Amino acid sequence: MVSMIHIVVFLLAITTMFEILPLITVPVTKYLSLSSFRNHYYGLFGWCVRGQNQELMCTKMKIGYDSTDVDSSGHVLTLPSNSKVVVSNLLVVHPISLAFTGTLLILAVIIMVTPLGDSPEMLLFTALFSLPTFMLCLLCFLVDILLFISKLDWPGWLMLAATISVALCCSMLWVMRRVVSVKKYESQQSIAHACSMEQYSISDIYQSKQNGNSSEYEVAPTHTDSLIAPEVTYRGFIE
Amino acid sequence: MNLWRHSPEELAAYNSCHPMKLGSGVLIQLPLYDNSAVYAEDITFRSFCCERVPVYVSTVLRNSSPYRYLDEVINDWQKFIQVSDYVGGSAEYAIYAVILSITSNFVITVFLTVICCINISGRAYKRILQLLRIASLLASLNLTIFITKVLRRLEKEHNVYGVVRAHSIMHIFSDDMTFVVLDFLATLMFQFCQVGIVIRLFQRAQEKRIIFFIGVILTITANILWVIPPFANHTTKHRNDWQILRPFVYLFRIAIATSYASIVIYHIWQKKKLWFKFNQMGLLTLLTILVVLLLPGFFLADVSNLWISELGEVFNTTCYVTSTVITWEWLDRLNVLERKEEAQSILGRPIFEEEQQDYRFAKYALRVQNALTRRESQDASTDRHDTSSNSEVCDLQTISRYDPEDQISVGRSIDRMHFNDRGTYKDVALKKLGYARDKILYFTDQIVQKSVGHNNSSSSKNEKTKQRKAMVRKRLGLDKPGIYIYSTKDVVFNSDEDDDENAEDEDDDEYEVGSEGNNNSSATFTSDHIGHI
Repeated sequence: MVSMIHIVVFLLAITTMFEILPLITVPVTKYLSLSSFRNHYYGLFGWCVRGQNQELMCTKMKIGYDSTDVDSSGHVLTLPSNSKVVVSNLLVVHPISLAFTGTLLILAVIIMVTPLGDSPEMLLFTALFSLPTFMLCLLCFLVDILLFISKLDWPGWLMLAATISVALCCSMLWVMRRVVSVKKYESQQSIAHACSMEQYSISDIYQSKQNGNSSEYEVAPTHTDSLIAPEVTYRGFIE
Repeated sequence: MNLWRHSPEELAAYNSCHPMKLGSGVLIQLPLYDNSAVYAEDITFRSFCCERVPVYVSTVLRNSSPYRYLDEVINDWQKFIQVSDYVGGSAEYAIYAVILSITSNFVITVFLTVICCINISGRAYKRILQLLRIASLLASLNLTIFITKVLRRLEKEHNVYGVVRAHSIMHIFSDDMTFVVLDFLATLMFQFCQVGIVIRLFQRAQEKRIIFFIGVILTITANILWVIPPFANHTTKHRNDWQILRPFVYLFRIAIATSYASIVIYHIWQKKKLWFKFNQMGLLTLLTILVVLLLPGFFLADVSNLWISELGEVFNTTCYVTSTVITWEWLDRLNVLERKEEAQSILGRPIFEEEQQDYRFAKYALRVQNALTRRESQDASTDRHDTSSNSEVCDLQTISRYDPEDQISVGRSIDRMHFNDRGTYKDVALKKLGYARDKILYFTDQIVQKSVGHNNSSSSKNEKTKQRKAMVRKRLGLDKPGIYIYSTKDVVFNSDEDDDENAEDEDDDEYEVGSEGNNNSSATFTSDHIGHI
C-alpha cells in the first residue's frame, strides 16, 4: 500500500528534476533555453545569439545578463517583455529554489525510512520548511513570466508544474502532521489508561450476565459477586 | 511607473517634436491685417509637444481643410495612434478610458466600504473587523484624494494649455507622497486582515498560532521591502541601485496573493457540500473565487502589456478591498451554515486532540448519548415511568464527576515534602526556555483566540490554574477512582405497601450501574475529531 509519504517523495523527486532543467539552459548547454526571441536564446546564466554562420555565440556564465557581451551589431539587448536588463538578476531565485527543494526531498526521505516519521516535531519542521519552498518555486515561475512572458519555452513552463507539485506536497505534509499528532495522543492515552486501573472486557460481562440469569439459587462465580457488590480496585504506590 | 521596464519614449521618436526646416516661404498670421503676411527665407517649425510626445487638437486634423497640418505632423499622428502605452495615442489610453477606470475603482471601493461598515458584524472577531473597517475607510479616503487631485490637474492643463493628457495622471502614482503613504497603510492593514481570514479557516489552535506567526512575518517583510524604493527615490541620488528591489517586491506581493488565493480556494473546495445547498451561497462562492484571483490575474495582464498596466496601483487597492471584504462575508455566512450542522451533534463543535485530556469530551458525549438512549427506551414503556427521573438524576450526577485520572495529580503527592533543589544548569536553562515559550504562546493565544478564533478552553487555560485545581482535587480525595459527588436532596420514604417494589428497583439500579461502569472502562476512540456522535 502506498502511503502519503511515498507520494510526497515521488512528487518532490519529479519537482527536483523539473527545477534542474532551467539550470542547464544556455549557455550551460546549447539545446535548452528559457526563451527564444529575435535570434536570441535566453537561459539562466546568460544568453546566446545565432550568428550569420548559424553558430551560437554565448555570454559567460553568470547570474544577470550583460547586454554588451555578444551582440556586436550595435543594438541594445531587448528582452521579450521589454524589461530592463538589470531585472534579469532576479533569476537567482532558481538555484535557491532548487536548494530548498532538494533539502525538502532529503527531509521527506528521512521521514520515510527512519522512525522520525512518527515524530510530530519532525513533521512540523518539515511542513514549515515546505512553505518557503513553495514560495520560492512560485517566485521562479513569476520571474520567468515577468521576463519572457509570451516567449517562454517549455523549461520555463515546467516551473508551473513544479509549483503545483510543491503545493500538493505541502498540503500532504500538513495532513500527515495532523494524523501523527492524533496517533501520538492516542498511544499516550492508551498507555496512561492501562496503568491506572483494571478493565473488564465486554465478553466477561456478557458471560457473567448469562451465568447469573441461568442459576439464581446456585453459588455465583467471582464476576457475579463483583457485579453485585462493586469494589474499588486500583494500582497505586506510596511515594 | 514601471521601474523595471524600459520607458516607452525610448522606442518611439516623433520628428514633429524636433525643429523641422521648411525652407523659404510666406508666413501668414490670422486674422488678416496689413502686416499679417511676411516673406521668410529660412523657416523652422516645431509642433506642439510635451515631454517629447506630440499633443494634438484632433478636431482639426482633416485633410480637406485648407489650412491643414504639415505632412510630417500628420505622419506622426498616424504613428502616435498606434502606440499602446500611457504616452501613446491609442484609444485605450485616451483620457476617457483612464477616468472611467479610476472612477469605477473608486465606486467599487466606496461601495464595499459601506458594506463593511454597515452590514458585516460579529463579536468573536471584532478586532480584525475593526481593522478591516479602518483599512476600507483609508482606501476610500485615498482614492477620494487621488481623484480630486486628478481632476484639478486636468482642469489646470485644460485652462492653461488647452489639452487634456492622460500622461500627467500617471505621475501621481509614484510622485505624490500622500497617495504612497495612504496606499501603504491601507495595503498593510488589508494584508493583516487576510491573515485573520486564513486563521479563521483553520480550527486547530496550534495551526492558528503557526498561521499567525508566518502571516505577520510575511506581511511585515513585504511592506518594509515595498516602502524602501519610493522613499529612496526621493532621498538618495543613486536610483539605479533600487531598480532590482521594486520588481522583486512586486513579485513577492503577487506570490503572497497567490498563496492566499490558493488557501481560500482549497477551503472552498473542502466545504463544497455546504455551499452547494444554497443558490445564494453558490453565487457568493463563485464571486469569492473571482475576487481572490484578481491580483494574480492583473499581474498576468500587467506583464502582457495590456492597457491597465500603468493603472496597477489603483487596481491594486481595489483588489485588496474586494478580496478581503467579500471573502470575509463569505466566511461569515459559511460559519452560520457550519454551526447549524454542528448544533445537531452532542458536543456542538469539532473537538481535537490538543484540547481534550483523557478523552474527557468523548466520555461526556458517551454518557449523554447513553442517557438519551435510556430516556427514549424508558419513555416508551409506561411501567417504568416513575423510575425515569431517578435514572436521569443518576446519569447527570455521574456526568458531573471529576476526572480522577488527571496526570498532574498522579506525579506528585501532597503529603510528601519537596526540597528546593536547584538542579543542573541544563535543567534550569530548559526551564527558563520553556517559561519564555509559554509566555509567548500565551500572548499569541490572547491575540488569536480572542480576536480571530474560537475561545478554546484547553489552549487558553493557565497552567497554574490547572495545578491549583489538581491540588484541590487531591486534597478532597477526588483523584482516586470510584469517588463520586452526589447532589444533596431530601430523602422521601415510601409507604409500607411499596416496600417490595422498591427493593426490586434498587437491585436493578445497582446492576445497571455496575455494568455501565464496566462498559465505559473498555471504550476507546480513534477518530480525528469527535463532533457528530
